[in-house]
Amino acid sequence: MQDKASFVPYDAMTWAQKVRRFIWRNPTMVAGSLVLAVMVVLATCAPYLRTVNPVELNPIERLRAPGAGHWFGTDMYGRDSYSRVIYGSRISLLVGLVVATLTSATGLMIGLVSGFVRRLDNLIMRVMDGIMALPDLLLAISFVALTKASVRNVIIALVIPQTPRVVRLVRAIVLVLREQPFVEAATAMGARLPRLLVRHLLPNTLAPLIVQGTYVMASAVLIEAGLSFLGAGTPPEVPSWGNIMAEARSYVRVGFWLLLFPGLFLATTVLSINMLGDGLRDLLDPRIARRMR
Amino acid sequence: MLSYVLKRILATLPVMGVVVVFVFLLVRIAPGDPAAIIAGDYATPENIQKIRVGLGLDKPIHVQFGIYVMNLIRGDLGRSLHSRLPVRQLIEQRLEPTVALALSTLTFAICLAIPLGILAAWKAGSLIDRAVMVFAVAGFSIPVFWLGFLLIYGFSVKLDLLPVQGYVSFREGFLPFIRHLILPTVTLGLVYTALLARITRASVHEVLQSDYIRTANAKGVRPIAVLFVHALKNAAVPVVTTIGVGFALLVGGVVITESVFALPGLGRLTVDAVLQRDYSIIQGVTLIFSFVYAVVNLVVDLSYTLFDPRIRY
Repeated sequence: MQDKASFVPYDAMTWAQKVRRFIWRNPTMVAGSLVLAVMVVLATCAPYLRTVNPVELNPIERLRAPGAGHWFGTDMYGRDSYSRVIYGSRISLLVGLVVATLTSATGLMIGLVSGFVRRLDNLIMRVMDGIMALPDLLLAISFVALTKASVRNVIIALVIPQTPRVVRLVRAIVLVLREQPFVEAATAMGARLPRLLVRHLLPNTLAPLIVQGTYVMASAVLIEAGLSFLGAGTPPEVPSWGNIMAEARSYVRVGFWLLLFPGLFLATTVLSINMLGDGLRDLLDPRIARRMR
Repeated sequence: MLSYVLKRILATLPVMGVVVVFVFLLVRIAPGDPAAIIAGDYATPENIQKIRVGLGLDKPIHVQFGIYVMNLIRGDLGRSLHSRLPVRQLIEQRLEPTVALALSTLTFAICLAIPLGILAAWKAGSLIDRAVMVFAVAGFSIPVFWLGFLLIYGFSVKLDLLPVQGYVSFREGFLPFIRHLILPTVTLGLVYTALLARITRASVHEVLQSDYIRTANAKGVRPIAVLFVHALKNAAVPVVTTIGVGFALLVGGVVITESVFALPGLGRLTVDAVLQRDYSIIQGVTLIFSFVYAVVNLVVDLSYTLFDPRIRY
């Protein structure tokens, strides 16, 4: 890579050299982030990407194979599959991002309190164990079934099963940290509980939290698609990758492209998020990261 | 040792208690009145009230909970709100396909993932290692239902080798049983394999860096013996833990796979119950799954002593 004659110390590197070094050292993370960035661009710029109205019916054009006018073909009602897939990315990415953020925030708060306040710890962990004892998908399905099928309810249904994992992670870190001298020093200087938690403990949890957040996002995108596929997720009027595949399932023989493309996009997105998470984990702190497995 | 087993079982009870309360509340808090749904669009308020009394939904909530727990202890899971059939009977009818799928998937995944993980760890850094790792990440990211349809398209539609959907009990013939089970097993199994292979590789790789492994190699022990006699047992604990934890994934995957391949199992029962808002079935199935999950984790915990004698209870 760099022979002895061309060895450059890090501080003397140009910006371009630093970037190349980063890419060389973290190929998976860079690849993952690039693909994810492409997906985000596709989702946000959907109207400008030669798409048509994704819910517009056009029965004359039903079940056309992928070709010139319709890049991904048309479905059983004549809707353009390409537009539906592009617009579908909006829902999946939105749900993934919101669930990851909410789960991290909630898990952080509960974990900080549980780790630090001994009296509440036992109770909180019992409840978390109880939630973790219920399989994710079942919990999510039950919740959505019992409320109206809407994007908001899907988000809540996905946050509940994922939160205990974040709580455990944060709590583990807090348990270690609360015995450290700096906590004792801060208390001696008059810091009360909220300040202790936010100012001193929280910053130490951020790195693993971000990594776990990416895994939560990948999980959320997958489970949302699964829920929509089963009919217990995003309502059918709103195209989401799971929805599109649910409607296409009877057309395996005559219109396989309807199943191929949404699933391809879904798999690629989740893969890129996972690769990003792995890269972040290797980058940020291998010690703490290994504890998360 | 026996005291530890008893202690662990006792520790599981409060968790199950929380689960029971959670499931009960989850179903009761929902907006939407099951009596009204059952009665239909043209029912009069008296009809709805009669149905509500018949279902026992008019009693105060703690009384309902008390009745529910008493019935649970007697093994009575209630009756389906829609068909009035006992939930227990419905579950028993649908048990076989689900258990068949779960067991075959577990076997497939364990038999595939563990050797792959060991191989990848042994040849760490090589092309095989990279390939296994890529497969692991990819396999974990692929949605189960998409993979299922891909396999159906490839093997059933194009090659016409295997049946598209459905389930045949092994009592009606072993070969059809296997043929109908292959695609669902591979679909679900590949995802589970990806997860397991990754953890196996990481764990075995870490163990292979230990001093005692170096000693064994220096002594001239054959590589196979080093791997299977010395390394494997030490690497087993995280792997077995993941098998237990992955079980929850398996349950979710079973629900989706049964939907894709039209297997008449518990997963389909749950989905149908959910879409019909049939609370009793939802409660019953969730309880059963959670109970099995708790048992699986208990077995996993107890198995640690087999692998690591230092873990003494």
